[in-house]
Amino acid sequence: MLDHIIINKVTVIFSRPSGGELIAVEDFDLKVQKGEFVTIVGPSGCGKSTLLSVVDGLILPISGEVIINGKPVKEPGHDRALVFQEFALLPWRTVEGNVMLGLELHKKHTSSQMKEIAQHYIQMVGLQGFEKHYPHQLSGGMRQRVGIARALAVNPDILLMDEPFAALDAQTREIMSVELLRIWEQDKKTVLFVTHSIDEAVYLADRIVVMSGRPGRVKEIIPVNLPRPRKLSVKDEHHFVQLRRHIWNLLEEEVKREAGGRG
Amino acid sequence: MEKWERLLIGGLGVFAFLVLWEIATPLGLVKVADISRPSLVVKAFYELALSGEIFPHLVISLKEFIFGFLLSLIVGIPLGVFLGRYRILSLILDPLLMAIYTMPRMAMLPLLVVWFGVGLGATISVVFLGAVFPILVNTAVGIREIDPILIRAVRSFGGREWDIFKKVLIPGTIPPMMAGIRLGVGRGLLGMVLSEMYASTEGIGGQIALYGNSFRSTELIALIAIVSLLGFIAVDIIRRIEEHVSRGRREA
Repeated sequence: MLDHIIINKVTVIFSRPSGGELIAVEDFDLKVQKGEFVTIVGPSGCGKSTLLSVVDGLILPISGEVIINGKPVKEPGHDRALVFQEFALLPWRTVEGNVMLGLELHKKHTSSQMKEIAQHYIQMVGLQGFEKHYPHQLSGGMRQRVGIARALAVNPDILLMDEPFAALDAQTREIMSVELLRIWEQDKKTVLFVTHSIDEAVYLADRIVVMSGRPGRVKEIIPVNLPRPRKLSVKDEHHFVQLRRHIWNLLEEEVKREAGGRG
Repeated sequence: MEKWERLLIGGLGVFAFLVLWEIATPLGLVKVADISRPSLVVKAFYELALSGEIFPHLVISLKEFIFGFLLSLIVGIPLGVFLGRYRILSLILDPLLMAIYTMPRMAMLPLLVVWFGVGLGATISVVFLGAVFPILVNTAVGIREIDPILIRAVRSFGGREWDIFKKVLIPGTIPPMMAGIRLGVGRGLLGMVLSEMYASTEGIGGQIALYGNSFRSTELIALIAIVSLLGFIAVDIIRRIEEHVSRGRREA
């Protein structure tokens, strides 16, 4: 089977404003298959978000490359869409206007087609009736629904999600991950989902990539053998609990290693 | 407190002031100077207007103001947008712009007369110099304060530099830009009057200088009222445009 995304020995180095260099990601390797849901967890500052920006084409790596459908990534493309932790909605646009942003930039549709498409995805994320609301009139969870609808509206092959639920409260977060799986089950796009929540990582994933502390490398890749569609009650199952403990141990090692390295 | 109550109390204050002003001179409360009386000012206002004497001056003043102000919009908005977006540009231009900004504009008036001639040219340039800075500075600050994540969002959907301007930077800077435009109206009007007073015999400012030289308080106060009225109308127009463009929007 053809790999949808190949991340091949990607290294990203930032120059610090104070001088010196920071290795954010080093020799990162990963292959993702079409329709696969892959979550990436790691200690904070391990470069998970940077990695996602590389796959999106917003950041170019110092060495290595990302290959999608056999072609190297040079810039953002219409086959990928990013969902941001901070939602990144335009505050002066309504829900409908925000969902149409990506469509406008892709310049493939007439404005009535764009409205129709926007309406479809607004319904899919459960925001019908809020089309004319502005972001400041919505709760955090509803804002991220807009962010997800905006990404889905351009019908990407790959959905890149950068800690999309990190700014939400615990309860909303659980509801949103259930919702995300419900939406994903409909057409099974390839998803790369960055999170620092172990629960979220296990619940959503086909495979979990655990990253090491800075510089970010692949520490372990863990398959999740839980049946789909998944209910929240899956979190009580033995396999889930085992996976959670295993990942927790891996991350604890990393945090200790970092603390030790500093001290 | 109800709105009409506030209006009533405020109105009473204005009324009391006008009464006091009206009776001050006849009662001998003021002896040192001619402070005129509201009734005389109203009469002078009508005479200036009815005789048609003031209209040619009003036309000249408005022409100078509108030209100078439009010029400041045409230069200030794009320059502000670019200064806000491109750090290198602001590094190059900021010291120069700040030097011109802090220079007392009226001290430059003789120079502006030499360059642009008495009357129209000098006044347009003074209006321009007064209005362009608040417009430019506010627009640039507005651009800089836009959350960079919005720019990333546009880029992630394949947006180019032009799309970033069109979808994020320009709509995002409209509120501070409009505030700058409102400030610019005040500065521009002030520049217009002062320039006309010193570098022209025409326009409202020219007339103020003329009546001032012959110590005619009543006409002077009427003319000042006309300038205030102009300012009020201009600011009101800007406020209406502002309300129109900012309907529904508010920072999240």
